[in-house]
Amino acid sequence: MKYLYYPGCSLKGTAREYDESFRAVAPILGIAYSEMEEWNCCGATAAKSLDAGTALRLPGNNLRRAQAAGRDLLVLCPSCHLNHQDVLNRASKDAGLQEQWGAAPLPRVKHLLEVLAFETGPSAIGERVSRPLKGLRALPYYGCLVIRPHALGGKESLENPRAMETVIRALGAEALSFPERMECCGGALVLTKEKIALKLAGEVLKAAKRCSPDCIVVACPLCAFMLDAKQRSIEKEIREKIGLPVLYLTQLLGLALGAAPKALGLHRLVTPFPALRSRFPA
Amino acid sequence: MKTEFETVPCVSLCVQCGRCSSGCPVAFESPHTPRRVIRFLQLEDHESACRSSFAWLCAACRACTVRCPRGVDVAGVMEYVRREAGRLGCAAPGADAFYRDFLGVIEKEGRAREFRLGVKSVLRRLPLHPLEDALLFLRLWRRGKLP
Repeated sequence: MKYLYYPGCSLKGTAREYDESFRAVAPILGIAYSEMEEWNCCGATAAKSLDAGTALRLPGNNLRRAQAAGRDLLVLCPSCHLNHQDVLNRASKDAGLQEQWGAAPLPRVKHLLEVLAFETGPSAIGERVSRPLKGLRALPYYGCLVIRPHALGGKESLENPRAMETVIRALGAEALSFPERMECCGGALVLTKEKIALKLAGEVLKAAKRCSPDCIVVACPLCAFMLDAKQRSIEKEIREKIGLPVLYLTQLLGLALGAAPKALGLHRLVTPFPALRSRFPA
Repeated sequence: MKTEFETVPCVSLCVQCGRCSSGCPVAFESPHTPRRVIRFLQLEDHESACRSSFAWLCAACRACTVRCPRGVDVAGVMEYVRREAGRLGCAAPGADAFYRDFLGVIEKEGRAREFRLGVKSVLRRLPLHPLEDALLFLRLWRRGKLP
C-alpha cells in the first residue's frame, strides 16, 4: 500500500529533521509513500478551541484529497493524526455527514509508529540494520497523543505501550524506561501557558536524567520542541542542568540503518549530542 | 445541555468518579478539576464552566478521556467549553487571541507559519525567559527550522 504522506506544518519548520529522517529511512524499510502536493493545516489546537465547523473542515479537506486518490494517509505528527482521525470517526458515525462524503470508501489515517511497529515490524527492521547501536542507552518518551486516545489504530496498550521499545531493540540499542514516559510535556500550552508547559516538561526531563540515558527518543514534534529546543529555558525554570539530547525515532533508525547524520538532520539538534561524532563517524 | 451540530459527549454519563482529575497533569494549577467543570455542565451552570480557567489550562493530553469508565470524552468537553466561552465572551484573552491569530494565518496561507506565530505570541505577552527565547529563535533559524 502506497501511503499519501501528510507532513503537517511543523514537519516543514521546527520538526524539519523528523521529515528528513523519515525520508531517509522509508526507502530502506520499504515504506512506500508519496507526499501530498496540496494540503492544509489540520487546525492544531486552535481550530477546535474556536469553532467546531472549522475543526471539521480543515482535516476534512485533506481527507477528501486522500479519498479521491484512493490512498491512506501517513502522518508523523500525533496532533495532526488526532485531528484527522477524529473527523474520520465523526464522518463514519454521523449520518448527516456521511452524505457529504459520498460513496467512495473513507481513507484511513495512520501514525508512523503504527506502521513501523505493526506493519514493517521489528524483524524486518532488524534485518536492515547495518550499524547496530550496541550499548546505546535510549530512553523512549511517548508523551500523550502518540498513544492516546487512538492507541496506534487500536493495536497498542493505552497505559503500557511497547512500540518504541520494540523498534529501539530491533536496532540493537538498549531501551530504558521511566514512570513519566507517558506524562504530558505541556507542548500544547507552550505559547499560551508557558510557565505550566515548562514545569511539565521539567518533570519529564528531571525524571529522564535519573535514568542516565545517552538520549531521549520521541515521535512527536511538540515533545521534541519542548524537550530539545526549550531545554535551556526549562533548565532556568527548574534550576537544574539537564543536558540530554533528544532524537526522533526516525533519526535513531537512520543511524542504525547506515544513513549519514546530516541526511537525518542531526545537525539541527538544539541540545548537543556529544557522543554522536565518536559513536557514528559520518 | 446545549450542543452544537457535532456531538459533544453527553456529560449526563458522568458519575463524578474523579478518575479524570486524578490523571490530569494540570489540575494542580487550576481552581477547578475536570470533574468539577463537568459538574458545572451537568447542573447547566455554563457560565461557571466557561469562566473557569481550567479549560484554558487543559493540555489536551487525553489522559482523562482514555480513563473515563463511562466513555465521556473529557478532553473533548474541555474543547467545547473553550468554544462556548468564546461565544459567551469570557474566553481567556491571551489564549483566545493566540488561537485567532493562528486561524487567521491558516485561513490566509493554508499552513501555520511557526516563526510568525511565535513572534505574535511574544508580542502578546513577554516570554518567561526572553534571553533564552531570543537565542532559541536564532538557533532555530540557523538550523533551518524557521521557514
